[in-house]
Amino acid sequence: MTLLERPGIAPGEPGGTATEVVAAPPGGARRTRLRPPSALAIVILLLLVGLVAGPVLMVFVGAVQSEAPGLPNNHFSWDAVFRVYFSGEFYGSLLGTLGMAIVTAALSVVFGGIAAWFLTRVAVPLRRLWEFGLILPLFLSPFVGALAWLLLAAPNSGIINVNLRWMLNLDDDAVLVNIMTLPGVVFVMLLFYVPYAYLFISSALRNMDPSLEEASNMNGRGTFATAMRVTLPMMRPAIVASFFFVAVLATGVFVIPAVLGLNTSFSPLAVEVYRAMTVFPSNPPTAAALGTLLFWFTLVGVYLYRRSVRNSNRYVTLSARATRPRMVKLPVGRWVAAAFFAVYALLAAVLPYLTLILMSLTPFAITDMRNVRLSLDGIIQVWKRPDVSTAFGNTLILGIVVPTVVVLIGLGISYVVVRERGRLGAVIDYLGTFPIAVPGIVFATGVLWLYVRTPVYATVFVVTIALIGAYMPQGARFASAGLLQIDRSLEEAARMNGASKLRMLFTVTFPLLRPSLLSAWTLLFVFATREVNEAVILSGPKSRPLSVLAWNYVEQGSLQQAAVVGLFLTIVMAVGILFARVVLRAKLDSSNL
Amino acid sequence: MSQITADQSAPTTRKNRGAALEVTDLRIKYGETEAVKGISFSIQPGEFLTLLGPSGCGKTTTLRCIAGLEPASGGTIAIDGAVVAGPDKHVQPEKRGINMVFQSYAVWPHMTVAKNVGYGLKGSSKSEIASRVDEVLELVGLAPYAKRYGTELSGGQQQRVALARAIVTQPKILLFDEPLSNLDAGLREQMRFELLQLQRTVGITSVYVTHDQTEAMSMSDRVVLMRDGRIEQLDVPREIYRRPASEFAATFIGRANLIHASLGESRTQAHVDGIAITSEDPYDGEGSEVTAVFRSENVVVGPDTAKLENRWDAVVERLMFLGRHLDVTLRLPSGLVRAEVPIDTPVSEGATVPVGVRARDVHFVKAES
Repeated sequence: MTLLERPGIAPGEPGGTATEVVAAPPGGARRTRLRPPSALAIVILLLLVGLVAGPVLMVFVGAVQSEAPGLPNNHFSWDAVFRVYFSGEFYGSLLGTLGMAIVTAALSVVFGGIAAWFLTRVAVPLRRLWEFGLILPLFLSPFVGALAWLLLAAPNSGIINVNLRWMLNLDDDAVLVNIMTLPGVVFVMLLFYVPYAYLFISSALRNMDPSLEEASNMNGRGTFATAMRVTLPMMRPAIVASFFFVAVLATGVFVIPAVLGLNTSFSPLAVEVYRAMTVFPSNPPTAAALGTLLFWFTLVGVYLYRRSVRNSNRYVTLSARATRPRMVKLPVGRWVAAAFFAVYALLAAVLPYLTLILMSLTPFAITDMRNVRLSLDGIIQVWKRPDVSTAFGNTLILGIVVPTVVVLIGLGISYVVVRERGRLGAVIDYLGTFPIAVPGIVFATGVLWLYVRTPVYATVFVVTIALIGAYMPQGARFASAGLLQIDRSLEEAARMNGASKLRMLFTVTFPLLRPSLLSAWTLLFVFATREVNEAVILSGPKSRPLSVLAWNYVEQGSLQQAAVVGLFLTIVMAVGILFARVVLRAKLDSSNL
Repeated sequence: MSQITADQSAPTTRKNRGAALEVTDLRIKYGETEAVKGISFSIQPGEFLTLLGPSGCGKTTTLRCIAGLEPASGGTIAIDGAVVAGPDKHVQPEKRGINMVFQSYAVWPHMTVAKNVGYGLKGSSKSEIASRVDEVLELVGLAPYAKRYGTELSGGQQQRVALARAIVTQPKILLFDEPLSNLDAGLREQMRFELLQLQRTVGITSVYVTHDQTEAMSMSDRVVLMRDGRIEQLDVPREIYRRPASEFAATFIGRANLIHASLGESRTQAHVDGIAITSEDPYDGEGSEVTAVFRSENVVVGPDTAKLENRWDAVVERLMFLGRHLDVTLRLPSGLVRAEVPIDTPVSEGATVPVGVRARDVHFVKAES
């Protein structure tokens, strides 16, 4: 995806933002001769080389070494590449990863699409609430969600199994639900990825000219026939785009299968990368080679995603006026739909967080409800640990520095790409959107090796640098979406009224961009604080944020402590979001994401 | 505006296949605001009726309500005597046997032209559908484009696809929602003619919504002039133009000179500021404060005014040469009057000239303060 393409659909996490379909800015005649690159463009280019191009290159360099780059006896070697690509050792893992990604993406699209249709076309009772419930998981941590589901539905000690056993008088080893399976992993991923599909498809549904459906009604077709023959085909680009988008996410996901300990059938490539990096005897070149293998597939996914986004522009038809689509009457169906939405909200948000709170209040991780004694001891104990306060500080640094820097650089990128254009603009555009194709854990290994000999190594700043690079596409995307909606003549009018370029930026451009940038900042704050995929590779005991600390507890099997830290993390995120929402007045509904 | 193409007796003599439509005391509410406040009109089979009015007058809402795309909150709509919308009754749009041409054309971009047009023909065999589609595409002149996709066509062609799709189902009533407003001026005129031609050929009862008075005047058998959710005037175009029912009707359609005046003893003559204004038709409204309405093209300037019933002296304030005619702004004691006169009329700015209007070109309406 490049910043100049404006889909009528709404990408979410590594995608960017939903732009309203607005009149295209007058282009054409403005394309004068190429100007020499501005100072801004050169600065941005250098930043992107250090933040994006360097780490990605280092992954490829690292794959053809014998040891981790930076070690003394390291030399050039094809061994890791041969092992990963040709030995067959990882083929099962690769196929499993791709299969899991495709199934997850397909189901996300089905559920997200149906949800979007109901929420935009049917008078579902409590519609606003369900819509909130559907985008809420975007602001929650998939890691914490996976952890909560592990506590809920682990085969032996999970709350559901333990308590249903005595309630239903079953054997002590009866397993009713088991989240530590492939379907379990897909289920938890769905909870977090359906919202992306929903965002894409619902925005396309909202932008669709309602008279296209009305014309079908006028030609004698009822609700169902209209939905299948007109609405569904019109949604095809959005459906395809969200499919590949989710597939790319699911291919690179590390934390959900890792928490759920999926290793019965296969272990996903991202988990293999993690193992090769951290588990003794570690083999960094293999991790890098695995990273390149993952990279090719996500690259294909991103390419297909971009193509479908481009195609979707063809489907944007001229719309007469802003009429709202006619609401379909489904007297029974709307209640059924409401029930499904309620179940989703329960599974994705309510149940996991209740579990988290309950487990935090239960010392010794007792899951049998008959023996539960609630106390704050566990929380206080964890709270007093010195590594928790260090982690708090680190999370705060990440949560403040990363979104701020990303939004600023993103603004610079989008200004160069949207306003200055030119050949350098195109290069910057590609570099800025590149990290979408690189799974976080792979990107992090690149960052690690790039900065291994610098003073930032093993500090929280190397994590900060990695996250800034990884989230660059989102920052740029939000800023460009905002910038594309500001007609150039508004800026030109400022210049004609005697303002310098700088004054124009501060008096016209920035104030108009404020809403987009605030939404971007808030979402990036969420991403940065909950991040595990990258930070887990890069941070040591002194530099780890809360999310990694919680992960380390999971690794040690201390689920109760993990739950407490997960709760702390959730509180930090909630406070940040509330701050953005109430103090900064950031808009966070589905039309702004 | 001397162009009157519609033959007033036409609806009964033309070939017609459409249904009659009866709208009685129709009310449409959006939340608290009432967009349509109780309007009634009826359409004969085959008639072409236009709902005309400024934006926000409720014309499109009325049309969508006839289509079944909006629910009525009061009153009834009956097609050929059968109530389709009324108290506790709302026949779904797909069951009404109506079709519609949308302002945005609503040509489905994922279907070819032929698929778009054949969409509404369900229950027929494939070959039957194909031949019907061919026939209609031939009729609108799109036969060579059958395999193209909707978005590959120009605005005018998309318009024709929408039209073909609407007539292929042989609806009882055809609705047009400002179908020409997205076309450029030249194409609009051509399409106006084609559309009318087609409506006459197929003879379907048509309800047409527009804010363009020229469209309304040139195409319709009758015009419903709407304002703020009410009917201002319902008549044949020529009568609306010649005898507007109100100041609004007079100014919305064509360019009118309005002079506030008070009726004297006779109901055919009014006075203001020392000038007398005579009309042929006696004023039949209430009160004695009236507004005299006459069209600027009926104002005569110069010696030709000698035999006219209304004859005043006026000062020429401004002259504008518009090619086809001379636009003259004249100052009367009562205020300014605009006249469109032949370009060879001997006038110059600042001169005092005789100005006149025939009594039969003057019409009194109730004065609005």
